[in-house]
Amino acid sequence: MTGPLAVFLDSAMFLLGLAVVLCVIRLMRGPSIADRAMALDQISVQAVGIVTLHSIRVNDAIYLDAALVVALIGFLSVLAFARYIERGAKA
Amino acid sequence: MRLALDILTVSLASAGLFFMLVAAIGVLRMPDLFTRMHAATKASTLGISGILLAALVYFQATGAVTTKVALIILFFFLTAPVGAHALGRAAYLCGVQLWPETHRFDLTRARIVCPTRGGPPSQALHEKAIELARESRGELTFLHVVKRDLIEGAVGPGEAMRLLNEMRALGQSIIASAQAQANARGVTARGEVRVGEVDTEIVRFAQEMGATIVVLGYPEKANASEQQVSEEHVWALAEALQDKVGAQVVMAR
Repeated sequence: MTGPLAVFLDSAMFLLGLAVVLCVIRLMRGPSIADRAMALDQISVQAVGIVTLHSIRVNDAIYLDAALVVALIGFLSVLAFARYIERGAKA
Repeated sequence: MRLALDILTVSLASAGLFFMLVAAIGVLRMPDLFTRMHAATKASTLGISGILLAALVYFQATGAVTTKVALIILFFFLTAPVGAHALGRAAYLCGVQLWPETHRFDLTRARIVCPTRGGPPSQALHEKAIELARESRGELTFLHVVKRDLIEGAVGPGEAMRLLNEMRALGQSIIASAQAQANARGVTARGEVRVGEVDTEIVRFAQEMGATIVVLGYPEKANASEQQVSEEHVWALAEALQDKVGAQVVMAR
């Protein structure tokens, strides 16, 4: 794909990458485990966004399956982290 | 037709992108975990929905894609609140601190302080405090302050000690009768007698208790000018309680 739509999608993916960087800063700063877990979940949501934009960019809907899988793993990992924190990790 | 679809795709994706960026900035900049989570969960659900809808518009020819995209959106709408709730609850239970300027926090049990002078006019005041404690299942403490300057000004230093003890005993009996009144309504209340300047002691005690609610009696004076003076006095006290303790002030008539 070429043309304005491709340029738009490329810059949109770049901006989402910027959002990922912001969340990585939060991931490193913490201060609590819950903050890190939330930042990680946020990054997984942004990954879904990037994969979706990519599937439009290459004009191939098969990538949406990957987006679905990332979304699922993100949710399950948040629940796992929540249980882990609640069971007495030092927050 | 294709052009129209592309324009729709771009505008949906832009809207989604905007909210995703807002969410990311919120995650980085908000002051505590709970506000950060609020930014992340809501804004990013909206943002990701926008981007997925863009894909849905773009691939509109194939029905399987539509189903898949709708499924992912539905999935986000269902899981984002569940995940945020689980994480927020876990974090709170493990003692993650709230932003100090948080105003409303429903998970704390109410700590109610009711300063009382005793006697028949205070019955309604006690009743109001007991009612609040019962509704919120909070802890209730009655406070009686013995005015120190009243004692020291009125008599010589030798008498003062004896009089002070008497006033204390009177305070204890006022508290005891208030507690009995609470017990009759099925509420367990604690009590405390302090000596000092009345307003200062009330504020100090509320601070020590970490009071969330302070119930004050509304003055009923026969004389109009006296009424105005004591009303202003009570309002000043209420303001001090709100500013220094952060407690909600309830007036009982």
